Amino acid sequence: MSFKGYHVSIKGASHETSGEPCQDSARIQITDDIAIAAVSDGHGSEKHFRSDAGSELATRTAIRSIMDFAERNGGLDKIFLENPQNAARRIAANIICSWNEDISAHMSYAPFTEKEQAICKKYGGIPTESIYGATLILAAATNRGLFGLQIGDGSFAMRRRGKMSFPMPEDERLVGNLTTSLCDSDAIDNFRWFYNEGSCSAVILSSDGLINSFLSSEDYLRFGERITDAVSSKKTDELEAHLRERTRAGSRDDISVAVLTKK
Amino acid sequence: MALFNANPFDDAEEIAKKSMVLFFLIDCSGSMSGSKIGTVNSVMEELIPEIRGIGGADADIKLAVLKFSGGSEWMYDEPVSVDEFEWQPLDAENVTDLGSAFSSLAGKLSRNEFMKSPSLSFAPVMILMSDGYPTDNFEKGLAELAVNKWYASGIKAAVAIGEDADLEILERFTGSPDSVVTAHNGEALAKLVKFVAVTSSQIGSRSVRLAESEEDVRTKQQSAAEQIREFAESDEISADIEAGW
Repeated sequence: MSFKGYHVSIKGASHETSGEPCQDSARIQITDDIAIAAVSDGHGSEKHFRSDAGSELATRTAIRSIMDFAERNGGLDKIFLENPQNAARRIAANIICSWNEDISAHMSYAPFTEKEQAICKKYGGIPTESIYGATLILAAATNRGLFGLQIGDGSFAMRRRGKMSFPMPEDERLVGNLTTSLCDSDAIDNFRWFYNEGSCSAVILSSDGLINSFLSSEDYLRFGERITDAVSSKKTDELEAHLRERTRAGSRDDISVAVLTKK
Repeated sequence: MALFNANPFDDAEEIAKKSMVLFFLIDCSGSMSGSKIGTVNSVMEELIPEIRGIGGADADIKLAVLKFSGGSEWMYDEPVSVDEFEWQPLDAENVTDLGSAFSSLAGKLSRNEFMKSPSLSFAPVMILMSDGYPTDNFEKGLAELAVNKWYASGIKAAVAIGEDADLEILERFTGSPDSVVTAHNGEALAKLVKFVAVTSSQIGSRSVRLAESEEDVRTKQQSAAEQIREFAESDEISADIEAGW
C-alpha cells in the first residue's frame, strides 16, 4: 500500500491533574491493499468508568471489522461502488456487534472491583455497554477510494488535490459537548459515513480534544497540513510535544490523532 | 540548515481554551428608563470582573449582549471574551420587541454565526431580563428557538424586573418557573443578576463528558434552577421586597 501511518494518544491535562487514565485510543493498520486508521474517545465521566477499555476495544474492533469485510467481499471498492449505503450499514452493524461481544469478554475476565460495584449501585445499575461507552472514527483508504465512518464527536479531515477538507457529513445534534456513542441503544442509526471514489493524499482522524483547542475550523485544517508534513518529515516528536501543549493550554482533554499519508 | 531543523509547530495556529457563550437579552423599552436601566448598566459593569475566572484553567467565557426595544440589536458583532469585554451603557426607549430578540438569538445560535468556533465545547447560558409585555409577535421567535439545538441544550434563566413583567412568557423562555425570579427593587436586581449569571456559568462550564446528553441537559438546567430559586427566596432577596422601584 502506498500509505504510511502514524498514531498517538496524549493524556489530557485535566486527567494528569486528577490521576485518571487516558480514555482515548488510536490505531493504524496497513496491508498491501488497504490502509486503516481508527480513533476512539471514551466518555470518561463516572458512569463510564471503563471507557478507557471501551475506546481501546472500539479501535481494535473497527479495524478487525473492516479487514474481515474487505476479505469477504474481495476488497472494499467494488461493494461500495455497487451499494455504499448497504456496505456502510453492514460494517457499522458488525462493529457494534463485535464491540459488545468484546466488552462482554472483558467483563468476564475483569469482574467489577468493589469501587466499581459501588458506582453501579449509586446509579441503580448501569448497562454494561454504557460503562464502556466511547465514540469511534474510522478511515479505510485503498488506491481507488476512501471510506469514512463515525459515531460521536471528533474530526475527520482529508487532503485531496492539495486541499484539506472535512468530508464527513455533520451530525447537527452534536452541539456543545453532546455526543452520540457506540453504547447508544440506537447506535446503528447514529453512524455517519461517506465513500469517495478517487485517491487522497492524507487522512487525519482526531478526538475532540484536538479540535476543541482551535479558534476556527480553518485553523484546524491548516494545522492538519502541519501534521501530515510532520509525519512525512519524521518530526513526530515535535508533534507530540505540541499536542501536550495543546491539551495543557487549550482543551485539557485527551488528544488522539491517527494519520494516513501517501509515501 | 536552520530551516531544515526548524520545529514545524513553532508558529502553529493559536491555542484556544474550551469556551462557553453567556448570552444576555436585555429589555431596553421605555418602561425601563430611569433607575431600572441605570441599575442594569451598573450591575453589568460590576458583573463582568466577577465572571472573569469562573471558567478557571478549563474554560474561557465569552459574552454576547442583545438589547431589545423597537427591534433588537447586538452590542458587539460576535461573542467577546469576558477578559476583553467593555460594557457599552444601554439607553431605554420605545416598545418591547421580545419576539425580535428571540428570533435574533435563534439566528445567532448556529455554527455559521456565534457558535462557529470549535472551542465552544459547552452549551450556552442564556439570561433574559424584562419588565413588561412583548409588543410584537413573540410566538414566532419562541417557535424558532424551540427547534434550535443550542437553545435546547443550554441553561436558560430569566429575571423579571418589577411586578409588571410577563412571568408566563419568561417561563416559556426558560422552560421552568423555577428559573424565573423577580427583582422587586434595584438592590435585588443587582444581587439576582450576579447570582444567576455566576451560578449558571459555573454549572454550564463544568467539565463533564456527556453520553446521556438529554439527562445531563435536564440535570444542568434543574441544578441551576434549584440554586436560583433558593437564592431568590432567601432573606437576602426577600427581606427588602417592600422597597420597590
